Amino acid sequence: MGQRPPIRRIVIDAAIPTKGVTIVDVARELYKVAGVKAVRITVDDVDVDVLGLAIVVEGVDIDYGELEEVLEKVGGVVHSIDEVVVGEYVPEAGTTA
Amino acid sequence: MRYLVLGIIDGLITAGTLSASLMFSGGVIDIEFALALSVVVASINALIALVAEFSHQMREVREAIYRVSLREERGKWTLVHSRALYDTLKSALSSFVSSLVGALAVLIPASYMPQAALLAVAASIVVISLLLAGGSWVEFIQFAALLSLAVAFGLLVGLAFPVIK
Repeated sequence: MGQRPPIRRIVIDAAIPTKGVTIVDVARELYKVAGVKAVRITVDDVDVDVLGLAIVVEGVDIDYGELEEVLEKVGGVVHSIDEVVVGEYVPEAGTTA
Repeated sequence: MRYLVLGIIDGLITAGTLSASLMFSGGVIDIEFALALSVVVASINALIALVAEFSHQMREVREAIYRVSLREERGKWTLVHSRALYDTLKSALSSFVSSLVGALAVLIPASYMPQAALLAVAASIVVISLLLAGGSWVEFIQFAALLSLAVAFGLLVGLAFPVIK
């Protein structure tokens, strides 16, 4: 104990400019972050100058601080963290209905 | 494309204007002078394109980043800035090459005989107008008339205010 609990999966709501950067660039840059094994990006909102993204990152002991830093380096910004999984395995998603 | 066309026109007009008095007073334009003047004209045009494009691109990037994060991000260099800088350098290089071509198109024939320079300018105007018009004859005539007027004005200015004698 006392060790930082490993992040296995994180879903981020983010935005990037429409000009100068693509979601391919964002995915490639995020994949370089320590612990990341896979990145999935879905465009869920298109504005004139801004793309709203749903970013799913999975891996082993993902460094969230670095993820945020990389997103800022590509010109993006984190709006919110919509889901996070910490632990030894990824549990099934629950419902509150 | 914008800097390619602008560069060629700029090279033609600037080189023609600067050397007009020399050409029409029977002075000698040798190949060394033609190359030197072309490089000077191309370098000036490339530097102007670099400064203009850099300020335009950086303003656009600043506005885009502001729309994304809704706060001023000064001094932070991102991938978007790097791409904008790359585009700026590409525009400056295009401007240099096209200006060099435009200037050489006037000065190389002029190094053989002044009449050849006028023919080369006329041919360049036709080619540029055809490229800009994209198949429309009305636009071709408009571009050709506008370019001819610009070149003629440049030559008149060059003759009225001789820089190189």
